[in-house]
Amino acid sequence: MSELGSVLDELALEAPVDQASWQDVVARARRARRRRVALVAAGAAAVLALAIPALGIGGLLTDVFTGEPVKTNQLSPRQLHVLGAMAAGVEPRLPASTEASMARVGAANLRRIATRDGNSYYVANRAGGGLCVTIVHRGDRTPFSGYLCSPDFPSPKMPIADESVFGAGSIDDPIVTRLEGFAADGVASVEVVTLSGSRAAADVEDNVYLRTDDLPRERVREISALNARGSVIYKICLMRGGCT
Amino acid sequence: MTVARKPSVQPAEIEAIYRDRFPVFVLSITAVLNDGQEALDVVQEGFSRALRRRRTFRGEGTLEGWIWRIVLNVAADRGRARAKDPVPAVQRCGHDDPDAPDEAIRSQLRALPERQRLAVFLRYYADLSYDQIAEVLEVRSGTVAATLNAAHTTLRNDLEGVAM
Repeated sequence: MSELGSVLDELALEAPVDQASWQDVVARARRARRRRVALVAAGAAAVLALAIPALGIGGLLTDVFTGEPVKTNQLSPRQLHVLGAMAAGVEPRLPASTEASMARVGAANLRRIATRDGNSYYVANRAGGGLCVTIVHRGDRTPFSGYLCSPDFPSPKMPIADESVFGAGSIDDPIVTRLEGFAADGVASVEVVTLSGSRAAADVEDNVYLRTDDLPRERVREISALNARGSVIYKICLMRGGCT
Repeated sequence: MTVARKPSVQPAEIEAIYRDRFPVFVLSITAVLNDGQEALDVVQEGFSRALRRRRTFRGEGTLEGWIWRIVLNVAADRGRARAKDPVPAVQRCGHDDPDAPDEAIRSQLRALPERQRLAVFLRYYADLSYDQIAEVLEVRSGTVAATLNAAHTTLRNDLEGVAM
């Protein structure tokens, strides 16, 4: 069976056995946890947003998120497929031809709106309104593999698309290790508020916010968006049962 | 009555398996998917799922066997998605000679029933024992022996057919 052995060796010849990265495994696990928290938060936020008046940012939402277009030939077929599907509002696992993906991506107009600390922030148009957003972190080995899309972002109903990373603690006991996301023009800063009332804010620049240092190591109560006058215009509540 | 509860798996235990066994995971999955980069993504995703779901590991069998099952499930999902997706994951150049012995074995390997193929890969690349393969494939040890024997017989017959 030496022929079998050589065929088996050949089958796995291109296996990237030297590309192990435990850091990437941990980052993926955190991203998945963050998505789950974001879903919980989005549900709570939808209710809270009704309770908080728009406070006049609606007029500031036109022509935001312009940036440097991304050339589609920089994306792999898989990246094109995922972006195209998300922008079209369909499940990425559904099959699509290369032409269909390209057409969707063309309409989505993926563009980089900001860079911060080696990280790049991208937005794409979503069919039917709203935006898709994604962050490519420095050293990210699977860029453009996940998007957050909403018909309500950016709008008074959803002025921030929060992509914060929640670290140690269970899903019911989140601690923010990275305050990060996208914000509409009317948002001046985004603030994390803990259960004990500690606060840490990140200023919004070029429609993105990022803060990684001096974040309170305590259970998070809410993430708030503030306007230039320092008034809270939107809250994402991370407490079961609400934040009032 | 006091019920003894198995302590949950620590991330360091999963990390230790990752650091020790990453090459055999990625070799095996490359053979399964015939695509190295996709295999890398599957192994990374599989370990990330194991990390997230570590509290669901009930201690029935080994931790590595449990991780193998997760990784193989991710690979199976990926394979099914790829089968439906006309966008090729990898475009290959070159020509295969179907009459060459290696290509004949490769075709035969691809044609093996999935359980036989996985058993061959787990035995060859990961050097798992029959008991370990049984645990991963969720069959009895005796079934593994029979499965491997059937696979080898098929492949040997094919090879002899080519040689004649």
